[in-house]
Amino acid sequence: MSDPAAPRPARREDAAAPPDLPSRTRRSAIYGLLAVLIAGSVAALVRDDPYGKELWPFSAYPMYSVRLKGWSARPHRLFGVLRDDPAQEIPLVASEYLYPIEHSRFYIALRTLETDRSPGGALDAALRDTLERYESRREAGLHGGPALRGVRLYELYYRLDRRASNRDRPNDRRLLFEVLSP
Amino acid sequence: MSRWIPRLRAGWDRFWFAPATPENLGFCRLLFFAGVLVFTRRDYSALAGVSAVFWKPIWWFRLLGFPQPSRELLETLQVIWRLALAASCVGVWTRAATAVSFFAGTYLLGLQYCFGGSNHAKIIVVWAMASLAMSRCGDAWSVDRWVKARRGSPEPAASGEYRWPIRLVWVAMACAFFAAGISKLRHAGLAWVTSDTLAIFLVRSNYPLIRDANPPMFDWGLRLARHEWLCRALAAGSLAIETLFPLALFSRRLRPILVAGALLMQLGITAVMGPNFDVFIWSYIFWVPWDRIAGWVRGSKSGWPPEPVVARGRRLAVGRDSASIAGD
Repeated sequence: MSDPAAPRPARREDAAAPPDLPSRTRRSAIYGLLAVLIAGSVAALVRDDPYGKELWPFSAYPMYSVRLKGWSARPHRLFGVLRDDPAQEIPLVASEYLYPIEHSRFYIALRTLETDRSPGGALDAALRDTLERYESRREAGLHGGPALRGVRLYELYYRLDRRASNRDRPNDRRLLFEVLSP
Repeated sequence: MSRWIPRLRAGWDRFWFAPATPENLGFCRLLFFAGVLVFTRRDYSALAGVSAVFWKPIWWFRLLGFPQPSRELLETLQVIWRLALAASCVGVWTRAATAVSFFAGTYLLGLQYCFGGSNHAKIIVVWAMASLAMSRCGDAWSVDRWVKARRGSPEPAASGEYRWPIRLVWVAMACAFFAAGISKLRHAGLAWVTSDTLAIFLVRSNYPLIRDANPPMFDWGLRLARHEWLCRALAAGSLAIETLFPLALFSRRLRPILVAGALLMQLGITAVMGPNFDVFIWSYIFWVPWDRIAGWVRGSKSGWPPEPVVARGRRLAVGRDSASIAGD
């Protein structure tokens, strides 16, 4: 038989009910967590760091926040040079080719390394590493891409079309850097 | 002014600590950790094999002096994390499991961003894990609770301890949307709405070598981009939802509109632009009143009709502004 004097568990949530305040120490811990969240979010908002350089896990969430003025784009993209036919190239944008760095993060990282394009410099090392990872994963059967002899970094130029009819053919491209295995 | 301060304080305390049953928080815990298990599955140990030239540690990795980890460390840590996530989900040693989930998960998720870029969708995971790790989320829908019940432990009473963790996730989501709205206003102003910006983003998403995210699920973005007025209306709607989202914390009327609007907006972005908000979208579970839904599913709202407050045989006197039990 249950004790009639014992407090009965409430069966319904009631946001209008008087608050059931935890102890002062407990509240301090909860408000401390809240303060870290709010202060970090405000700091991120004030600093307004560009995408990829944020105070993660705080952010000003700058995704899609720029104003685009022209119907054109100049992305930098990596292409693989086929081992069997060096005249042929494939774009390296698929996640399985760039693994374990995801597509968007890979190109942000590459952009920061592009300032050092000297042979043996940061960009050279990054592209060689990308080629090696691609090849070792291909040999392990982790993706079905063709064998590569090297990689080339291009600046592509697109005039955007509302129907994307030229989605596979950039209007122009410029070679920025290449790495070829011997 | 002096009247407002106690009212604000009372409202603040009610917002965080109005009594709630443990069911809602427990069910959110179960669903949330199941989602994290699914949406974060990948081999983090592969990051150990990336050249050091890519290693650009984020601020707290630098602060704590964390080096690029070895494969062995990451293999061990990711096994520990996944076990902790599974234990957090089913509620075994919930306190310890949720704490390990938070620390190991924050490290592994943060590690990804030490190789360039970042991910906005995963930020909410960190805050939700922190909140649950500090909470009593194992008091319902858990093996821990089942074991205690078998030992004769009474059902936990409603408490403010079961409300604040969910509210903290709400605040984290509000911070995210508000920041996104302010960022657009700061960088583009109202031109983000009145210009072709959204139309151009929609078209760019359909160019495989231009987009910075996954391919969109559909090419509807191209159709939308042909209608200038529609793109501007969508841009205005998105901006309004983002900047006004914090009102969802306080207004019961606006809450369903803003939360459903934000959910539809993110689903729409994934469908026509490509970015994957997976675990962020999953975190909308914290806005759902699961206990009420459970009540409806069982055929009656839980605890409805309510227990009579006045014992049989006693008279309830109702005055103009108050009610009292005769004799009290």
